[in-house]
Amino acid sequence: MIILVCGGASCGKSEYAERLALDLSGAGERTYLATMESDSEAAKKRIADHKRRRAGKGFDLCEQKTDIGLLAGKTSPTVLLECLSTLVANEMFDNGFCPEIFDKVFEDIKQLADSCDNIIIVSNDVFSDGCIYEEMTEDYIRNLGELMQMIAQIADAVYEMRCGIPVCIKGGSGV
Amino acid sequence: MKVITGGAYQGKTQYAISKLGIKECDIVSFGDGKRLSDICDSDIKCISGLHLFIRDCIFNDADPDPLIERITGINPDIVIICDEVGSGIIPLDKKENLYRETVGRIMCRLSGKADEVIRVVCGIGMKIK
Repeated sequence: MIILVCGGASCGKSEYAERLALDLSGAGERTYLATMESDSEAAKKRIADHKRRRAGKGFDLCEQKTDIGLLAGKTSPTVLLECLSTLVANEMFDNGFCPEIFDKVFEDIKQLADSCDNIIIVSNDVFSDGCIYEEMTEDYIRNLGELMQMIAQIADAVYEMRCGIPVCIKGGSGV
Repeated sequence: MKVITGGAYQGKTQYAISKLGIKECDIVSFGDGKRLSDICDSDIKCISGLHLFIRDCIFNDADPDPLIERITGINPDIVIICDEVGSGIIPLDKKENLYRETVGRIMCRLSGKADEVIRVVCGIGMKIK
């Protein structure tokens, strides 16, 4: 099962995604796939906060900044990918600037999804602030938007989080 | 009139094509700097990027309302596609601020008149009216 959980900043995406992962994996194992680099104080704090919340929920941790297709077959049957927006940034900016990556990342995700039972993908809503950015940032927003559309199309369920409430916009039975 | 709203790069135009039967050649897009005044007398089935038209008006000290009123009056079955632009920090720049407020206000008015309003997220359309 492929589930996409999207929404703005701090709207309860991670918490809901964790609940979905717990629910879907039951007594089985689950992998937390972290894509964020701990290169700043803010990132370190966020990572610490997330680790605290995940403690005791039985996730094994897997850190992969790019090329998540390489993890196919190496994770638990249920994977929580946190988060797509960071992964897209890593893919676009980590090894020089790459302006078009959504097809590549989509293939990576499909490869990983095919190898496991459940994948829950968390992503940020960065599309409605009305700002017009310089080209690289616009490229980033476009890549993330295209990729989220592609994932939503193959997903079994898509949730948009609002104030901690999952609004189901496709499929899904919810938790 | 039908209104399609949603964030940038969410598949709004694709939704109009695949779900509302709009042909690509029937879409008047403002992405290329076109002015609404260039096309206002023709038979218009769909306009996309209305926010860019409004932006262009605001930054040229023009009032977008009369032309939008006229277009929607002449073409009662028009499909209007516009980005949601109001969910960021209020800009310090007065015109940027006015732009976002004007888009919001016009979209409220158009949605009020529309038979159908669809919000597209990740390519998925939700009928909100």
